[in-house]
Amino acid sequence: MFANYLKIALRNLLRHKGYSIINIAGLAIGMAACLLIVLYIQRELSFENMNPKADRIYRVLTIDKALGTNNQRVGITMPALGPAVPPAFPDVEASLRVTGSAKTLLTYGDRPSVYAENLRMADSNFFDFFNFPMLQGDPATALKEPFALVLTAKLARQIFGEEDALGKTIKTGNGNDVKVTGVLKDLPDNIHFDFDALGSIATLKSLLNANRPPNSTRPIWIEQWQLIAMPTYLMFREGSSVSGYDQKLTKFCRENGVGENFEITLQPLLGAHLRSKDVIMDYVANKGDVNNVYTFAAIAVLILLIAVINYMNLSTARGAERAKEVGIRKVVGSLRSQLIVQFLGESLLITLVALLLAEPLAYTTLPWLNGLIGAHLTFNLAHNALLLACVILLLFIVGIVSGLYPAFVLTGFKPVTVLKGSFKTGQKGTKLRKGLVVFQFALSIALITMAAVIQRQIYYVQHKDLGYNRDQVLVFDMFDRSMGANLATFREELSKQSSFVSLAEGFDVPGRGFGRTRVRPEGVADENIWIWSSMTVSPEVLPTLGMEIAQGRNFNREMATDTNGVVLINETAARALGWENPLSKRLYFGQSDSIGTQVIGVVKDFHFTALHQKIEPVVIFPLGNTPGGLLMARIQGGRIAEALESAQQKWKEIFPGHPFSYSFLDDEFNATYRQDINTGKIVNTFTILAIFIACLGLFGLASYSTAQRNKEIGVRKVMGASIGTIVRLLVLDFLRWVVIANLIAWPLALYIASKWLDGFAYRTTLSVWSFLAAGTMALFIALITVSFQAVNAATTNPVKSLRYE
Amino acid sequence: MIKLRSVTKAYNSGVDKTFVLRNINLHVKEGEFISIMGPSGAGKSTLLHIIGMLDSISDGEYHFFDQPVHALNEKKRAALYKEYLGFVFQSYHLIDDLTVYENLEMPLLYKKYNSSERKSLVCDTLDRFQIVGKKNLFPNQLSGGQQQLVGVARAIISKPKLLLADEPTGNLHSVQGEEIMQLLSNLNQDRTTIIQVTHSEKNAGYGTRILQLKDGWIEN
Ligand SMILES: Nc1ncnc2c1ncn2[C@@H]1O[C@H](COP(=O)(O)OP(=O)(O)OP(=O)(O)O)[C@@H](O)[C@H]1O
Ligand SMILES: [Mg+2]
Repeated sequence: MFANYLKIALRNLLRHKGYSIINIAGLAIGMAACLLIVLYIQRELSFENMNPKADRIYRVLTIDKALGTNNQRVGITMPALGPAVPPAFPDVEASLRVTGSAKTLLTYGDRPSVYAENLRMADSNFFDFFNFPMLQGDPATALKEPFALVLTAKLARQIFGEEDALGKTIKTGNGNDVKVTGVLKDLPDNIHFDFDALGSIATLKSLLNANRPPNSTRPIWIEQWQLIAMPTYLMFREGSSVSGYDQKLTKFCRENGVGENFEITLQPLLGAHLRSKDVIMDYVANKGDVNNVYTFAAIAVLILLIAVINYMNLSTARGAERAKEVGIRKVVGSLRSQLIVQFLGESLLITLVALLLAEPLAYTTLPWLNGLIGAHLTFNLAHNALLLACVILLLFIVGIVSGLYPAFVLTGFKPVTVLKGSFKTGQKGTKLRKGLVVFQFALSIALITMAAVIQRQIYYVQHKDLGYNRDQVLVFDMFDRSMGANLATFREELSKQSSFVSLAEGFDVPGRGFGRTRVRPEGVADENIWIWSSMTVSPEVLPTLGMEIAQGRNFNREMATDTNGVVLINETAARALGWENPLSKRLYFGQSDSIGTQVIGVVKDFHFTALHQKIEPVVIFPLGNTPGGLLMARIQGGRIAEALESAQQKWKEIFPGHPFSYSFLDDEFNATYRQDINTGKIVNTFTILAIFIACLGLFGLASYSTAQRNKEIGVRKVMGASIGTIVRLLVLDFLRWVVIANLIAWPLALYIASKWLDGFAYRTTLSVWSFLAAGTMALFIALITVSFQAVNAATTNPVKSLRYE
Repeated sequence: MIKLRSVTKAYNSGVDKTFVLRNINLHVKEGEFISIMGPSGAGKSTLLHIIGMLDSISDGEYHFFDQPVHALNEKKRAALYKEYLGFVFQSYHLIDDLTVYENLEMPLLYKKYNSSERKSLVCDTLDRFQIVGKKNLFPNQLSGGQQQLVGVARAIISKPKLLLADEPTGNLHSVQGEEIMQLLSNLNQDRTTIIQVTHSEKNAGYGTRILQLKDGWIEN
């Protein structure tokens, strides 16, 4: 029995090579796309899952409700909160604080200095929370002592070469001696944060205490309640519930004198990667977006659906042939159930063949995906149970769904009807087929539109006037005090180079995220808490970054009074306060400030955060005589190489112990949108695949329906119709359906696209052109596909098609 | 063997009912060879399909070996059909993707035969119809007569008690037609009950009884 079915199925496949190729190719491409997307989604969902305690760990986020903020969640909280929580709440087993990261120079003996790209400080129980395997050292004690440092294996190798790292002392850029207390296996890439060196918070504490004014009563900042500064994690006891803890912790903060504007909210560690897109200042290196996961899952299903529809369409088109077989088999005694098994078996077989092709296809295209998302996914069925399960599931779902029509409709025919001689299912399934083609094209058009909207937004982002000019700007960061002390010299040396147009010192660069400060603007009631972003820079920042003054004046280096007591604000700040003439106004910082600071100018609004976020009020402080933390340098057009070379030369003279290090402002900018750009690329690729598969199906269907109409075409030609009229006749029929598909696709695309755009505070308009272009493109592709067949049919000698009848 | 009592078959065409068979009463005993004749559109095929359980009746009763076919559900009818009936078509209706051998084997697949039984039955039949040499050919590599030979062979391979044939020679020229009729006649002598539809007086002569059908009525 089975052998008989198999024979029929294989002979059918071979006899109708064209259909088989279309079906198998469509399904193979569809399933390959699907498998890639499964791998991608699997990775996105795998974050932190190597951590056995992940489900008990929560990130403490702060919501800043102050005026002037967008009320986003902030990834840091009060430094004093973490240690205070476990004693006060029995549900909480432990708390952990980790600082933001800093690029830090590390030197071992006479060996060349090396940068730790991401050095963070952590409480001593770090490894209770995150059990990264330690190659050397004891995780329980590695971060207990001041001046202890844990390195990743990679960084340890860079610093020590083949030498053993454990127990060795190295010097930091700031001149502190630290001891290596542990070497970690290199970190997995599916964790939300990133570090290559981990110091102890005890180090920070000891440094802060050492620099403390002798009779200060204020606690050091890492023990304060009055500011938010520390990424903090809480581990709940097994079986305890976190519900209600947002309120409990907020109340706890109030009891400790935290301002009314701060609220606490807990985020499960397992959501840190996918659900943090709106969180600012959280030092999360690797942010995903749960919406992307949904989008790609939907795309996978759509592509598969399009391929399955091809199969269904072509099998209904060929229904007449198979219906006869059904009739005969019933007449010789087959039960309907046996026929259903046969047809489902057949579609399973085809799906299996397609799947066997899909695997190598997915395997060979995986490096492309890896490149896009910066991951190291592997296609390995033996080691990936989920992937294996998906493959099996795909086989059965696709196999069965595509076999549904032949299995349930064809086998339902009464043998008498089928065998009476003049039976034609060709007509019967026409409506269904057209409906399915319309559906396919609607999906394809929706995808094209989506891709067009994403591209448009990316274009918008990259070409929008940001209020500053990010092109040709180099940023040199000072990594420690010794560098900061020589920054002025470096600036002076570079200013002698003609390749540099303008140089500015400061602590902040647009795009990196600014710090925030509490402000009491003149004439505002005390209970209205304003929190503004702040930027501290030298006067040259305006020419260097091409920022403009809207009102008043810039800081002036020549005026001694401009080093203190004056600030600039942005237009948003002035507008938020309803100030007609901001220049006469004063701002007060801190509780005891009674003198205030005068606003001397208003800068035009500039986007200092990504376009996902709205511009907030900014106050710009003059750097004054303090050495800055970084240097921004505008290069004269076309002289980048020259500028870099002279900068490197001067760097070597002025910072001999530090390897040359710089970044371009526009690279930093692009990195912010890397995820959006990659999403765009992935959507583009899958859109092309979807259209390709849909066209395969359309091609098959067109060839079938023209073959069916051969006689009609023959008659028309004999009656004197021109080739042109016939082609028009055949093509118009199909095109009508593509037009209907557009009408279905547009509302769908409109909905999805506007949802995606909602993620940007600043976004392109949804242009009618995106929709029309998508529709026209689909129409054009359909036209080419169908015309090819139509011309073929119309130019055949009519005698050929009329002879047999 | 077969008892039809007041059997009516009607199709709904719009508001009206079109009667294709009216008040048919028919008894067939085992071993008979009946030829149904009549003008085109008289309802011959319809009657044959009803007897063959491929079509249902609108009114009346149909008993097959004392089983009330009109009252049986689809599954039971199919089981009955499977056990006792074979069908031959005017246009052969072989499966194009299967060889002669496989076409013959197919009905056995749906019945309870193991593979060696199937093999010997198919070989016997090929022998008996003298088409051993053609067993690996596909239907489109055979002449019309040869295809019908396979059609008949397929119908009788599982030894049905009743063989129904709708114009089995309709598409064949006279020499081939005669061969087929001779074959049916031989089968009848081996105790197979046969009901055929035919337009030819000569072919009807092979049978033991002739039924004249006109406008859905049996004329005697
Ligand atoms: N599905 C149907 N719906 C309506 N009328 C039908 C249907 N099938 C058959 N008929 C009608 O029933 C009548 C009898 O058809 P049937 O095929 O039994 O004729 P026949 O005697 O076999 O004719 P022929 O010698 O041409 O084969 C015809 O008038 C036909 O139009
Ligand atoms: Mg007939």
